[in-house]
Amino acid sequence: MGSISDGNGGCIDGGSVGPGNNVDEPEPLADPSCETLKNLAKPGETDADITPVVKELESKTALDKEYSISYRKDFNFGEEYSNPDPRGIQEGESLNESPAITSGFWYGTIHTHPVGTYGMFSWTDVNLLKDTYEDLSQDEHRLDAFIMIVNPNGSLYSLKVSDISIMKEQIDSLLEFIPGNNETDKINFFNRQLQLAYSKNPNGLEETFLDRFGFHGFQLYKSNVDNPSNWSKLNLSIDIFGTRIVEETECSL
Amino acid sequence: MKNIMKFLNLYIILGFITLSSNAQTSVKPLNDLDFIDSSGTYYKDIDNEIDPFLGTWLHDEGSIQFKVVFKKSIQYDFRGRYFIDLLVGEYSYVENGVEKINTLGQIDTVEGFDHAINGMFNIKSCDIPPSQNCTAGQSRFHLSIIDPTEDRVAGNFIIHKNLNAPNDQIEVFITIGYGGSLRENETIPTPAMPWQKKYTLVRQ
Repeated sequence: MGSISDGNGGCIDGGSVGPGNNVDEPEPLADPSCETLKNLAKPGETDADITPVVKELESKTALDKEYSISYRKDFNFGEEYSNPDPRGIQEGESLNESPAITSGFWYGTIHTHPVGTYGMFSWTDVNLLKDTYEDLSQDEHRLDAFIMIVNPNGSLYSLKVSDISIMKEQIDSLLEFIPGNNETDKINFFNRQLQLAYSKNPNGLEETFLDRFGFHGFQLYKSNVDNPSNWSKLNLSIDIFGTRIVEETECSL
Repeated sequence: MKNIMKFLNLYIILGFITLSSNAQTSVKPLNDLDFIDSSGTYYKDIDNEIDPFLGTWLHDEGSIQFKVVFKKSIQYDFRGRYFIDLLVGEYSYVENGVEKINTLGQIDTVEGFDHAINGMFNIKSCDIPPSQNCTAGQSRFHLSIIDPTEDRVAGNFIIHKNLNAPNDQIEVFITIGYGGSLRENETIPTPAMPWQKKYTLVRQ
């Protein structure tokens, strides 16, 4: 795949390794996205409390459908609540898809990647994050926008927007060049190319994803179903031998 | 003598044109497709891996008949940007005697990515279901399928040969999708084919 300039001399769609990134022990990270991810696991009455939900979703990863649940903001007497879809976890239509609600106050969705699919984000997921972020009716909730996947091995990954203008520009400019009957068809075309890359490096899905999406205006985070308040941010770095490695920086907040 | 000189001149000019066009067009394998390429590269089915799938195929399980006609689109010109070989097809889908989709009439009237089934990514891995009757390393094309009755959906069409079958058989796995994203109060579309189903098709 070719490269698109990010305007700063960087490579957007591949080769996201920065030459100045050395692999020292990363300092714990205090970033707003970390905080919003950690908040998802808080068990209070007004919180999303995703811990039991991700465990339940993990138990469904052996089934032949995706399962999902969306989250929204509700308000009562001036108090803000982070609530799951009252209908609960939804069964999807296939191994590759389950419903995710966007618009209004819906700010995120967690879904499974079942056995037989790759345990990393697809282009469909990336596009869903963009829709979730853009469709939120209140700007103040956009920092909370997230997409999360639950894998059969208990790993959790989340995507958070870091720069919506870059993200939108990247997706829109690529869609221009893609054959397809509608947007879903075009995104599927991207997905096939990504699956091809995953199939060539099935033990390096994080590396493949970061290589493709290093500067696309969103960030990748990792956790697990046993402790979904403990997140790390993942970046691609280069060690002293010139080998690319995935660097995990723990969220400190 | 004059005629011989004319012939030689023509020969030299033709040779120059051939050399020039060869120098401008690079040929790459299908899986190397670069979306944003506009250099006129030809993404070619170098080892003719598309060819074993060409022809007419039928899945018949009594209540469902699914017929597919495949052909090869050679050196399809994608918007003047690059050229590409594609596995393309049209299909009919009949359920309980009711013909729900029939695009077979388009097999010779549309081109390239405009076919109801089209694509070229050859992912030689059985990681993605269904893995039964799949042999690691064999050609497995990941294609697109369009449902002409519902413009909000599009599908994945994964195809490989069952190398152990006594007759010529292909295994097809179709998943239909709408992108997953639903605005509040928006309903899920209704495709004519099942959201997810495995088909075994026999050469006709």
